[in-house]
Parts: sequence; structure tokens; C-alpha cells
Amino acid sequence: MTIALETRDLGKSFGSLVATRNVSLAFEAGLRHAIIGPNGAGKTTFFNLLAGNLRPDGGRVLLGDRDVTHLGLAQRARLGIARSFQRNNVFMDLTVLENLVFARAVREKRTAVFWRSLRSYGDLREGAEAIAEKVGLTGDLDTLARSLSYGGQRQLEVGLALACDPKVLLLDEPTAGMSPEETARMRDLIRQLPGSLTMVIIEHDMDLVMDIADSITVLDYGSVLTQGTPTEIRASELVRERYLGGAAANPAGAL
Amino acid sequence: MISDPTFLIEQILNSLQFSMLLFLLAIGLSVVFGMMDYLNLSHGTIYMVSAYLAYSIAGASGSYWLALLCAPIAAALIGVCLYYLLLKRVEQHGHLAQVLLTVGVIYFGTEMLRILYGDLPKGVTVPAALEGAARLFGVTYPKYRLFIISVGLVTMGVLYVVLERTRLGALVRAGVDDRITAETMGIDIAKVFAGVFAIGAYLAGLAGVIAAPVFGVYTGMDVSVIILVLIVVVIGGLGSLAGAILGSFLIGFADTFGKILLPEFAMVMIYLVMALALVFRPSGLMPARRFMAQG
Amino acid sequence: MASRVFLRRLIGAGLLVAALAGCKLSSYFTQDLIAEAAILAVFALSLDFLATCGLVSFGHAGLLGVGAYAFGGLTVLAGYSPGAALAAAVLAGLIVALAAGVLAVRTTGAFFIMVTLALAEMFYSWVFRDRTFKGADGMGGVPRLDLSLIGVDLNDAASFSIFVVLLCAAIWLALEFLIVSPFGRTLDAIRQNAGRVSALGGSVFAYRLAAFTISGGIAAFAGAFKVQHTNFLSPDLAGWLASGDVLIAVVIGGIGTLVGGILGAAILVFLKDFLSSHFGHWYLFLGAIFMMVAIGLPRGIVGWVVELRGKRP
Repeated sequence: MTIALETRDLGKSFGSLVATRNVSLAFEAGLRHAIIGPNGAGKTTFFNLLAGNLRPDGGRVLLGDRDVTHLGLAQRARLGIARSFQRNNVFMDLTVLENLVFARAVREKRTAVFWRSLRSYGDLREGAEAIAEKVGLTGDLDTLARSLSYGGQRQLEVGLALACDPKVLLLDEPTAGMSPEETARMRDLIRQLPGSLTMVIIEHDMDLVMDIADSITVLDYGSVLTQGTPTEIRASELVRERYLGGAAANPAGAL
Repeated sequence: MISDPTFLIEQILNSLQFSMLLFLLAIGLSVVFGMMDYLNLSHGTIYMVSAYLAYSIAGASGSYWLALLCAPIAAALIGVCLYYLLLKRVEQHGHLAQVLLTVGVIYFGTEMLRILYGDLPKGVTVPAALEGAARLFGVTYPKYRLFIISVGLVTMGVLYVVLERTRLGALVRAGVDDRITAETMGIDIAKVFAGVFAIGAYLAGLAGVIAAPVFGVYTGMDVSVIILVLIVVVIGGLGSLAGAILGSFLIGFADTFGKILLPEFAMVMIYLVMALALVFRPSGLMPARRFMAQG
Repeated sequence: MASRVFLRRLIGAGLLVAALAGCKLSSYFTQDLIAEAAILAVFALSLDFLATCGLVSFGHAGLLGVGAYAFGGLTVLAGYSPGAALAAAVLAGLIVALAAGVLAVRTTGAFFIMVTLALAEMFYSWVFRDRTFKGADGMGGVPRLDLSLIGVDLNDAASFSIFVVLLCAAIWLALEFLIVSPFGRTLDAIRQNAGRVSALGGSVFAYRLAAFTISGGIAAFAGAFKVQHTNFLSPDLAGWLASGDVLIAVVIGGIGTLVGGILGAAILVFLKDFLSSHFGHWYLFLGAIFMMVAIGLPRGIVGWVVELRGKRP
């Protein structure tokens, strides 16, 4: 069992607010890991610490064997940690194709070129089209990101993260704000991603989580409450009490 | 030279006096920038307009005190009009639009004053009650400059009481701290803004009147002071009284002593300090609220 | 996309033709204005190029001043040939921009505006006081480039105007190619969403610094020609008024459109000339124009025209 991404004793505070408290988690390679927890549990802060948007106050982040704690966002992206954002963070003034071509160009380190136009790179275009297909945006290649539907922008979000050829993909609430159809599409998209890719997903949609996750971590007040397979989490009294509301029986679906 | 105690005390008093002027100008700019995220470069123009008004009023009535009373009030009115007629329009348009608009105000205002008053610098005479010098700390120092220092100290005191102890002050601090939350709490931010603008303009006007007898009244006095005031605001920290006080003292002393010790490079050093401060402490030394720097 | 780029290039071509025609056909005085406009246009292009990565400088005249003083100092005081001095001036611009950029590019938005203003004022206050360059009195006798090898005498007004117009056109074309290159597209992406570029693995700081450096080189180049045009070197070249002027030119024309800088520069030069010869207090009008543009025409003329054609900004 190889560990793709790991944190050891990770901590982060904002003034007197302890957002992340001694979190030690190991994410096994090739699996889909979900992180759930009530609002304010520190999920997005934890993501920011994993991806490099934030520097921890204490503890370490390791990508495989490599300590990346002191590396920034861009450096970690180059090493293989890619993330999507909770709120759409795409290039609004570019088309879907241009968004993805650019992301590929950054990945392929072709951006320091002065003497050719970006559009002339056929292989970048092919790579971009392949990603567009994976995320279901083939029909929208020439649409401005700004003009896409909300769901389409979320798909592009994931596409940009995929364009980095990541080893570890961090998805921050990929289905946030989506309709049931869009959610189903996102679920299929995630299912179809290669098995070699390690995924860590923050989600509130319990249906989705139970469906696709191989392992679930529950965060509460910045620390790890518990970790396990969907079955274990479903059966857990502790989780039910702290997160799912304490009711003994739940209508079919959630838990 | 610096070892001569008389000289040293004189220069300290000079620094204090200059710091007070900077403070009067900086606090308005700081709170406006900190609270409304509005970069108002025409703040110095209000200062200049008030100085010219003081010249006219003192000239017509023969009374400096009348000018001291009226010019700042006029400045506040002008400030509010300027805000509602022009400045408010680009409040949400970003700093570039604000810079352009307020630079336009500077050009326009400066030229307007040239038309009305001509190109030659004007003077305002020190009032009779403040003529001459007093003995203080073993030195002889002009009474009028001591007056400037007193006005500054009194203003600091009044502002402290208002900001910390009154409801208006609490509103302003809430607005500086977190405008959006303040709005959702039902505070009419628009009125608070206008009020803040008015008070800032009043203080700039006050600075103009009390500076006039010492520094003279001339077009271009706005630009020469606004850049220093920006430095004070940036170093001291946005939106806080303590920051404005600290910044004014730092720059007031740095400027005065800098000109004595390193006449060629005084300004260069000050600008360099500002640039460094912006880079490493973009929020300033004592800001009301800290920003995340871009990287 | 195609129509937007075509429209910009059409405007640029039109301006070029008008300028060249003007040089050939008009009076000495107009030729002089065209030269002034072309030099300001190069300066505006340097500022607008920087704006493509989202950085707006309010101190660009400082970099122009570096080029001007390097050129003026080397030719008048040190006796260098204008050609060598020109190369040195551009090099000086690049170096100073790089050094200043390392500091300045860490900030954005209003803070960047203030840092660049402060740095430019540093330079201004130095050349104002330093007697080497005669300070506020200024220094005359700055020679023009010697093109006798190709049979051109730049001391002739018409020749000089045509030369700088062609230089401006060349720089504009070079920048047009640069902005569609991967490098240029990266700058644009940084302007749109710097955080995202970082998340993809791009180094935002490095690209912004590169853009600032290149921009400084071009501004210094403009500065070297500015002093050749007026044959006179003075601190006002580097003052904040000059920084404000070029900024207004870029904004009138259309920030981020490149050709807008050229259009804006032309408008500003001719407008100033018209206003100052008809009105005593023409700064009133200039101030009013600043204000109107800030309020009503934030995208500038070219920006507005392009928007009329298509939905792309």
C-alpha cells in the first residue's frame, strides 16, 4: 500500500481560532478519499494546507516521500498536486479550449516562449481536447467560460485541475450548487477518472460520497473525528451523533 | 551641529510641528482609504483650497481667527460636495479609476486657483496674539509653531475620544473593520462614508489654515504634501488613529532630520522606506485590519 | 477573437498611414507634434504592455527618466556616441526596472500604484537635486542619433518624425506578436486570475517581473528619444505629472488594447496643443477630461469600439 499524500500533525490557527488541529492523515494511492464534516470543521483550510495556498503553523505535508511543507502553491502543482476550487475560479475571458490549452501549456512548461503564437501548438490543442472530453465539455470548446452554465464552469474547474497531469487531485466540493442532473454527470466524470489518480474530495452530498468514495474521513472542529470505509462510517454512532444529527433512523438516501 | 542641545531641541520641535500637519492630513486619507478602499489623491487639493480661502478671509476681514473658524468648515463642505458629485461615482470602479478621477480634480482645482489668485505665492500673517517667541525647554521658539503643535495634540485627543468613546466612532471603526458585516447589521454605510469624508476634509482644511503662515500659500503645495501623506498612511497603517500618529511622527522626524543630516538624499531615503514598507508590511505598522499580501 | 484583433490592427495601420502622411505633407510644426506623439506612443505602449498582466504603474515616467538621463548624460557629459548611448540607455532601463520590479511586483492594485509612484519620486528627487545633471535647470545640447550611414539626417524635422513613427510601428508590431505568444498569454491569464495560474503551476512573480523589466526597457528607449527630440534634459520628464500624462493617454485609448496607447498618445499631444493655443487655462480642460474618462469611458476609445463589434472585451 503506497501513500500518495500524507500529513503529519498539521496545525493552523487564525488568531485565536484553531482551524486545523494536529491532523495526521494518510491518503492511499489510487483510491478516492472523501472528507466530510459540518460547516466550520476546517475542511477547506485543510485543503488549502494540502495544496499550498496556506502555510501551516506546525506539522508536515508529504507528497509520496517528499516533504513539500515549505513549497508554495505553484511548486506543489508542478510536483503533482492539483486542486479545483469551491467557487469557480476559471479564466472567464477565455473559451473552454483556450482555458485548457493554457493549462496544458503551463504544465508542459511551454509558456516562456516569445516567438510563436500559443494557438500554433497542435499538440497542446489535442491534449486540451482530450481533457474536455473527459469532463464532458467537448461541445463547448469555443464557448467563453463566462457564458457557460454554472455546471459547465464546475466541469471546467475540474478540467483545469486535470490538465496539470496530477498524481493527486484535490476536489473542493465539486458538486456545490449543482442540480441533480449536473451532479450525476459529475459523479460519472469522477468515476471515469483513471485508477492511478489519487483523489481527495470535500463534499456535502452524502449520496455522492457513499457512492464513489473508497475511504471517508470525518473532520470536526479542525481535528479528525474518525476515518473508515463508507460502510463503517455509515454504521458509526459517533458520526451519526456529531455530524448527521443524532436521529436514530434516517430516510433512505443520506444515511 | 547635532550635539548642540539648543539646536537639537529646536529641530525636535520643528519635527513635531511638521508631524502635526502630516497627521491632520493623514488621518482623513487613512480612514477613507482603509474604510472605503478609496485612493483619494485630491485630499491635498482640499488642503490647498483651504489655505487660499484662509488668505482671502484673513485678507478681507483682517482676522486670522475668522479664517481659522471658517476655512475648515468651507473645506468640509467642498469635500462633501466633491464626494457626492464626483468621487462617489467611481467608488466601486477600482483604484485606477479613483486615481484618474482624483488626479483630474487636482489638475482642475489647481488651475481654478491659478485663475482666481494668479501665480504668485501668497502669505497669511501670523495673528498678533501668536507673534513672537516663547521660551520653552531652554530654547526660544516661535509661539505660532507651538500653536500648531497644540492644535495637533488637541485634535489627536478629540479624535481619540470620538473614535473610542462615542457611537459615531464605533460606527466608523465597524466600517473600517468589516464593511460588509456592518452593512448587514443595518448601519447606513453611505452616510458614515459621507461623514468620514467631511471630517477628513475638515481636518485637511484645518491643516491648510494653520500651515499657511509658516509654509505659505502656493499652487503645487498639494502635490508636495500628498506624497508625504501617502507615505505616512502606508507606513502607519490604514484606518487607524494610532497608525496615523505613529506614521506622522516617523515621517515628520525623518524628513526634518533627514534634511539636516543628508540633504541630498533625504527624500530618496523616505521614498525607499515607503516602497519597502509597502512590500513587507503592506498593511502598515498599526493597521486597523491586516491584509493578505499578494505573492 | 479574429474580428477584435483585426479591428485593433486596422486602427493601428490607419494611425500609421496618417502619421506618415502627416510627416510628409504638413508643416514643420505638425511634424514636430507627430514626433512628440510617436515618442509618447512608445512610452504608452510600454505602460499598456505592463497592464496586460494586470499591473498599472503610476511611476512609469521614472523609467522613462532613467533612459533619458542615461542617454543625455552619456552623450553630453561623457562624450559617447548617440548609438552607444542609446544601447546603454535601454540597458539601464532594463536593469533599473528589474531591480525596482523585484520590490514593486510583490504588490498589486493600489499598493503597486503607490510603490511605483514612490520609486519614481525617488528618482525625480535625486535628479532634481544632483548637480551632475544640472538639476532643475536642466541640460541642453543632447544630440540625435547619427544615421548618416544610410543617408538620413535626423536633425531634419521631417526625417526625425518619420523615423520615430516607424520605430513606434515596429515596437507596436513586436508587442502585438508578443501578446499572442505563450508568454503573452500567460501575462493575460495572470491578469484574469493570478491565483489560478499559481494553482496550475505557473510562477506569477517571475512573469510579472519579466513584463515589468521589458516594459522598463521600452520606456527607457522612449526616454532616450524624448531627449533627442527636445535636445534638452530636465527632471520634469520623470515627474509624477508625466506619469499621469501617459496613464491618461493609455486609458483614453483603451487600457490593454496596445493600439489604444498609440491613439491615446496622439489624442493627448494634439489636444494639449490645441487647448494651449486657444485657451489660457487649458489645464482646466485636461483635468475635466481626466475626470470624464475616469467616470464615463473606463475602457477607452478602442475598448469601446471593439466592444461594439463583438462580445469579447
